[in-house]
Amino acid sequence: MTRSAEPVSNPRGAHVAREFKHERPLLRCAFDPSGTFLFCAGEESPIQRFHVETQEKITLQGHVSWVNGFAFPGDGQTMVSGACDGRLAWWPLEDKDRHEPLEIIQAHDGWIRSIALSPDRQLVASAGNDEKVRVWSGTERKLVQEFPGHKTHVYSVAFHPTKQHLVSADHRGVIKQWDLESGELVRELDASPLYTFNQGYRAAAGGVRTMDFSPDGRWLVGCGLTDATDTFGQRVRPAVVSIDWDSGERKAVLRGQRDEFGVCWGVKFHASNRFLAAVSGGRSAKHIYFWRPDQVKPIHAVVLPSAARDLTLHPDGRHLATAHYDGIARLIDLVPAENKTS
Amino acid sequence: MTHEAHPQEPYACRSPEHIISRRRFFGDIVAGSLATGGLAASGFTGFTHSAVASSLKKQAKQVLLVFQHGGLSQLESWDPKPHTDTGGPMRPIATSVPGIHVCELLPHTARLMHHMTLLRGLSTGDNNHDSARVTMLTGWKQGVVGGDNPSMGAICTKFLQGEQSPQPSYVVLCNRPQWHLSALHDASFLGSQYAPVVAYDEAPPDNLVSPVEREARIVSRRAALRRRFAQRFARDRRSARTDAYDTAFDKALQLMERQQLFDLSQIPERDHDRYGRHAFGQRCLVARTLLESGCTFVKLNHGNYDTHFENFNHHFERLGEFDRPFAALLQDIVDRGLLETTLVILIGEFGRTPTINASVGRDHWSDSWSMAMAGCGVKSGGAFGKTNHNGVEVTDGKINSFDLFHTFYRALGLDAHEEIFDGDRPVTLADPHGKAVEEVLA
Repeated sequence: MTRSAEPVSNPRGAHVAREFKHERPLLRCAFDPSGTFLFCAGEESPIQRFHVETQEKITLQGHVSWVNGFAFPGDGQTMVSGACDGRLAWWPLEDKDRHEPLEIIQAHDGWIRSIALSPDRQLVASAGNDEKVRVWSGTERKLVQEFPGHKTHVYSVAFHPTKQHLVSADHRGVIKQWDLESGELVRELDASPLYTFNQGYRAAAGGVRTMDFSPDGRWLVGCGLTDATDTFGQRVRPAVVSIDWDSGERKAVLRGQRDEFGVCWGVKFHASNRFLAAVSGGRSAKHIYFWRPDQVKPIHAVVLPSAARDLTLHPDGRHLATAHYDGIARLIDLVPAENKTS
Repeated sequence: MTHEAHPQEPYACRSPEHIISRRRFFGDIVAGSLATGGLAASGFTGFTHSAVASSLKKQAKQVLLVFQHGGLSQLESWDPKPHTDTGGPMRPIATSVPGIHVCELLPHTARLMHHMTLLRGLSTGDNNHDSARVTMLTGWKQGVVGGDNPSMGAICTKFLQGEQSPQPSYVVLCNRPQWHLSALHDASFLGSQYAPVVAYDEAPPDNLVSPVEREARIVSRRAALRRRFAQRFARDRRSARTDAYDTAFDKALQLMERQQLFDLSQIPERDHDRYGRHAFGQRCLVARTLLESGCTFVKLNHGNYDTHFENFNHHFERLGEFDRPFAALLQDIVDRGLLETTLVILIGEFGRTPTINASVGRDHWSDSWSMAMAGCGVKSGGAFGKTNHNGVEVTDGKINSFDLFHTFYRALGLDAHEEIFDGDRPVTLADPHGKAVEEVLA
């Protein structure tokens, strides 16, 4: 996705500008590279495609379970989705007459939890419950590489923006860095604050739910939950772990508000490299937080009307969208109202 | 000469102070009772109605109760509802019974469905963990602690074990924080001889091994000496409490003699592999050994299924751990020819809400949920009861908690209406408002 830094964007000015309504709780959202469409996945197998300006909604049928991620390979005229049915589906981005996939590939044995697009838009990476990470040609729709090695479900995957590296992160907070050229494991990074094993219940909770790199490649961030004193009772706190890419050191654990119980399901770096945004949802969590990656105190936090499950940045750098439990995707304007009038 | 006490006047001196009240009894226990080999070592015997006596000791029937505590989601187990607003992301899979599908998280158990019966119309009306747990273990609605009525485990131990049944006859295998009814409350007025032996995780019951190594000959002589003293004492001073002490000593000694039942090192490596080397897999192996040895009632706990938060991730983990060892255990029960005489029950406090909450979790739900049974006295390879398209209501074959226990007892050849006595108070085995589900009984 092209990211054009927008100097007037300011987290302190974040406000809901528009709503895209659907009848089912939403889980995922993504803008296409032009910012024309907002794709949403909910607690259902169809995908919803909203036109950002007209808010027209088109339903895309093809998966047989919940959809967990989107990518837009090649020239941006195709969308790829990955779902809990283990399938990758390729769709025409905009075809008024076709609401079915161009092709479906059984990509994993079990859930696909995350997909990501390489910076050159040629590769799509997928990761899932079969503990595998796979890389596909985004245009030829063929398997290119496979990276085995995780010992548990792989929750998220991301490409480094400037180097030939891929990272994958799992349920236990283990992040593996892979060299795309050699296919070798380069190193492991530690996001273990996002994982808890409760000895009393003999139960684990956590996982790196989403990862993103800063556009300059200096920071890697992953989000999830921390301080899990009772995962069954939802006494967990939303959190983001930031890692200095060069050193591989974990720099900070960015926690949600003290009285908030829930999880960060989505995190994205802003195109300006100045801040990251993360959304929280759960028992009492419904915030969007803006942090600098090395400062635990947020720049700003906005209470949202409903638990948030994901966010996506618009290519204009001025907007982002959030997917919510109440079935609404919200377009958040990052430009303060006073800046618009001046 | 052994003194024979009249059933209604059990103690030699007929002194009322020896017939201690249940309340005082439990109070005394809390104040500092003897703990012997994981047993509740005090208590008094509930008086058995003479009419019941003739129906006691049904030989060779056994029970394996798997309690999935916290509340297993029926949608992620026995009653999937794919492609509905409540269905979640899991997919249904075919089972060994054509037309019956279960959740994809139970692939090993699905292959054994021809041995099992599903009850998909449970409507038990209690969404509270503590009170529902007591109800689903005793067959009675009562307080949140238990103890008003004996558990099904205690009742089955009393009615099903033979005169010479080996000890232990009632064992609970659980992990420490997941204890359901305290050992003191489990048998209630039936008395401590029907209380369970409790083993935590992979470990044998506490105090199973003598702290000082002694020759068996010396242990035996000491026990005989203690028994003689006790008999002499009982001639004039017999009481419920002395009976309980005697029972506890005898059970503890028998248990110590059979400690190999809990010795996992005796089990072949291939079985450890089949069952899994995690705590639940190991508990299933102990359960197999106990059933093979003739143990009347084995309660096997697994959890936690209380998935208010991220229901699907937790069910991946919980059922991922449960499915293979449970299926291995059921298969071994079948292969050993034990299923005909063993009633297998899989149940919890309640199910989970069809509605998915903001935390992608499911909450407590008792209006329409499911359980599974197999073996002794029940039909196999079917599903009884139906819920509507998205599982929010029972549309056919509604069953309440009382009906369940009438069904369990009938399957075991017991009459749930028969009476036992709490002092002078007659109590039926299960709440008389229920009735057995004839459709699932063989």
